[in-house]
Amino acid sequence: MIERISLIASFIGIIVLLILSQFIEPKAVQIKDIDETIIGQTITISGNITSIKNFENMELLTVISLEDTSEITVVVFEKTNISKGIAKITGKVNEYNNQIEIEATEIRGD
Amino acid sequence: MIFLQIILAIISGIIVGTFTGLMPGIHINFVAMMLLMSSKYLLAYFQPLTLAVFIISMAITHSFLDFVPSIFLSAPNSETALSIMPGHKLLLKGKGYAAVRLSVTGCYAGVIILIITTPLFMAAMPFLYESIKKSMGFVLIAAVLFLMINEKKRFWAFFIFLLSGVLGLITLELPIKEPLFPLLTGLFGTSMIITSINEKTKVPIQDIQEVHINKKEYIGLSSSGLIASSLCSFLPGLGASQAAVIASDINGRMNSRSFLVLLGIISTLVTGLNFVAIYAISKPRSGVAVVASRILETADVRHLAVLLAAALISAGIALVLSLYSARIFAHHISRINYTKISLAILGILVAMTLFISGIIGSVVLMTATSIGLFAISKGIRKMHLMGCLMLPVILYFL
Repeated sequence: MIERISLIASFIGIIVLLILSQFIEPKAVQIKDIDETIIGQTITISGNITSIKNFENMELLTVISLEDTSEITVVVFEKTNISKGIAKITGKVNEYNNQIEIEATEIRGD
Repeated sequence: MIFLQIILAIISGIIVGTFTGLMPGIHINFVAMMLLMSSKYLLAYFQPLTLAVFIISMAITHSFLDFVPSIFLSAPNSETALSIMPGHKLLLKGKGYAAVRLSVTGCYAGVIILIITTPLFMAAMPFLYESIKKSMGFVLIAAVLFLMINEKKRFWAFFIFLLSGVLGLITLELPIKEPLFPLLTGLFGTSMIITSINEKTKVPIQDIQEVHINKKEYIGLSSSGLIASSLCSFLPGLGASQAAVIASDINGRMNSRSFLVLLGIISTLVTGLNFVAIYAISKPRSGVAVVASRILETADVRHLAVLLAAALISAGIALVLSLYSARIFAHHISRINYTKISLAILGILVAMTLFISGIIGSVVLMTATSIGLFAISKGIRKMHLMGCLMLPVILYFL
């Protein structure tokens, strides 16, 4: 009895969370608050893209916070036509070579 | 002045650790996150080293005291999830105090082993870490398979690993505060509490007796605990429960008494080694160690010596405190209404989830609780529920 109810509830819960995750906006985080503790989470940041470095299969952006001087590196794997300036970036917090960076999934310019 | 600050840090670490350890369902990583959030303000008044001393005293004390509620109230968290079986067995025989005594003497032994072996780890860890790093994903898969093969119902163990893994993947993506809190509380805390309410656990009158384990057995347990803990200290996602299973495999069949000692050894050893890892491989391996490393910024070996001394002092006091509180629990547990306590704890955990992680957090809690309940009713060891962290970590490294 418990076995069946708990199994069904597990599936329902997972499905509900999956649906919710599609509709909820990722958490907005200040650049200065990004650290190891949120690695793996998907977040949204707002900032000023000050430099764009092009590589063969990716682009590296430097984004500076609008509130203070903190900055973060954003990696973009798909070719896009990003330009410098203020943008809203959504992506996953990642660690690469002991540096915290964001792997962008969506970039919206203002 | 700094000496006085450190002594004060140890004392306050012990006080806070006693509190968080005795509160059922509070995970040490949760306390660490609270600390990290307030560290900006604390650093204005205290030296980084003082704060790190506070954290290690708290973490060590927490690992001792945590055994008291996990044995008497059977509200385990992920780190002690395995202790439920042998610990609960002794409790129902009226030997709850003996169970705590075995575990915390193990904890103390773990701290001693930690101090003796730290120089060795400082030398070996960087080399081991570098050689494993590139194949980390595969090493972790091997560890999971090893744990799976040990299970009688392999299909269901794998199923539960995947189910909790999927929940972990989704939860970590969700924009909620402290996603781990509802996740771990549901899988390891509330599901167990609900089971005990449902089974209407009646705790018999407890009898306080001393227990002894012979020295030979101690040495065997210590060495297998050491091997397993060192493995888990630099493999992300593997905690004390997994270390205990690996160790019990190395050690061969063992009775519930030895298992409790082993679990104690491992729980403090893993906590301590997480700190050593900061110095040896500059990689914090647990939430607590992340906080300590961020506060310390630069890792200095002299600091490590201070931290280890703090760990030793706290361990001695925590040993006395945990035995004392186990006595109090043993005296009163049979007279109080177990179901009422369980319901109260359940209420507190749900309220905390709502407060910390909001409505979506409570959906996570409900789902995690259901998965936990399913695992318990299928008779699958709760360790496989750690898939909630292992699966995301493995995918991250592949």
